[in-house]
Amino acid sequence: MARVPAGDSFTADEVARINWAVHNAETLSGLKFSVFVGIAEEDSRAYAERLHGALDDPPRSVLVLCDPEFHVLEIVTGSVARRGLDDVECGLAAASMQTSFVAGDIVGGLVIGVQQLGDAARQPRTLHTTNQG
Amino acid sequence: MVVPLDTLAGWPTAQPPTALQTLGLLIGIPLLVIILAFAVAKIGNNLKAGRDEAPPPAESLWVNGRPGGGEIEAAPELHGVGPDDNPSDEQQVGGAGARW
Repeated sequence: MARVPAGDSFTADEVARINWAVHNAETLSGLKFSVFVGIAEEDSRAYAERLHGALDDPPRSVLVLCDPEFHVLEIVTGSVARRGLDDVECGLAAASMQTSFVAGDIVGGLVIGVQQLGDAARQPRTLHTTNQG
Repeated sequence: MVVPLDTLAGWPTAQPPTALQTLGLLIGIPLLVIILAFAVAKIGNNLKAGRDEAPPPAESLWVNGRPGGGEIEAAPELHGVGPDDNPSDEQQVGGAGARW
């Protein structure tokens, strides 16, 4: 089986693509997105939650952990982020990423997944106000 | 159909090949071609294997998160608080996971 890039195996162009997707997702949703690509611990979920907890603003953050070595993907949403991005939407994004990962396209999967997460968490524009005066 | 090996008029008589020449033609040249083909295939395989067995990167990639690969500590809100003490903390974190 062919190895896939992880961590610093990415080219500058690939990192730029992920950065672009993260920036777009943040602009759309108002949440903070982080992507970690590297080796996770045996309990990948717990490790992802610890990474998420160590971010600057965990409640409003969404962490995407991808371990290409052990073929693990975890998405963690904070308490505030979860209000606009529920677990079902995260599961759908995970499935999209999984499809690309299976084909060996780690960068493409991350870009698609982060975009999908940002789209799902998009804050609808309010066209009315409760202020009567 | 068998063609008689006659020397045409005006042409010098061909010398019969020596045993060494016959061996070279029937065994030496085919052997050389086989060795060359094998060497090309072997070199190709070695180059491919060399690419596939590149050592894994030591560093992880962070995009818009914590830079570097330092030790990760437990989340501040979980310090000294286990899941049994406050089950609602566990429910605050959501998301999904997948394997491939």
